[in-house]
Amino acid sequence: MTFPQLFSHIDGIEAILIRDKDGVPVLKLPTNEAVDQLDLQTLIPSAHILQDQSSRMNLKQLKTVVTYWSARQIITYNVPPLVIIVAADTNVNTGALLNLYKDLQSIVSETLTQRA
Amino acid sequence: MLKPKALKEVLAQMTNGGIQSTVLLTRDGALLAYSGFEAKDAKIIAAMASSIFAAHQRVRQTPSSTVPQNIVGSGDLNMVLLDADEGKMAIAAVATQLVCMVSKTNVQLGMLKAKMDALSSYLQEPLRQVSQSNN
Repeated sequence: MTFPQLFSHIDGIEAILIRDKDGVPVLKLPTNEAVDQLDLQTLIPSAHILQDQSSRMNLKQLKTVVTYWSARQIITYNVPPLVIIVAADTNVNTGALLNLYKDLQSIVSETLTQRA
Repeated sequence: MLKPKALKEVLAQMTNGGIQSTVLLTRDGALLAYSGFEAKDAKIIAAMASSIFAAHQRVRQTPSSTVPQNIVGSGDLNMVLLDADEGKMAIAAVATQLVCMVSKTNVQLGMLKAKMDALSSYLQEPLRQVSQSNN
């Protein structure tokens, strides 16, 4: 399964940004323009801060972060060495999005194994 | 006026069923009331929660003057839910204050969010009145 296929059955997703551990964008879905228009890149520093704070609180490795804004919800998946940021409409099923974490883990590990 | 004892009792009602601590704090991280962990730990949670929430607020505020309204983070930030290996955390804005809940891993995120929504709506009006009287 590929990243676009994984999210295809969930309606209301506006944009997806996948970046590596250094913050460099790896993939932008559905298009570069859609991600740039939402300025998803601005979330990157806060993803780092969240991981840092989570470690300090003895919560250990951060898995997912959901932020609810008045206009949309942002789900950040921490799947080392990648961080996947999904911007979705407020009506999108948050549970369905959170359940993708394990699928994302397997896709990332498959991809890394193939590369190795 | 806020009654500290009553406030602590309200927070204590939420601190059960896997919820380890419930903390009410100002946006700059000062502890107002807490239930669950000891005062020392509650202060740490308050500082962390404030920092996490502020990190998102900065995302919203930095580009406000130059970037169109449809960017990520336009509008109000209502809640942050964190799911980590050793626990879960929810932070919500209530009037001009923040409420933070820390739970064990066995608490489902939906339950954490439902409890946070209930607490937020219960505290919203009293805290709004207090913040208005301070202005």
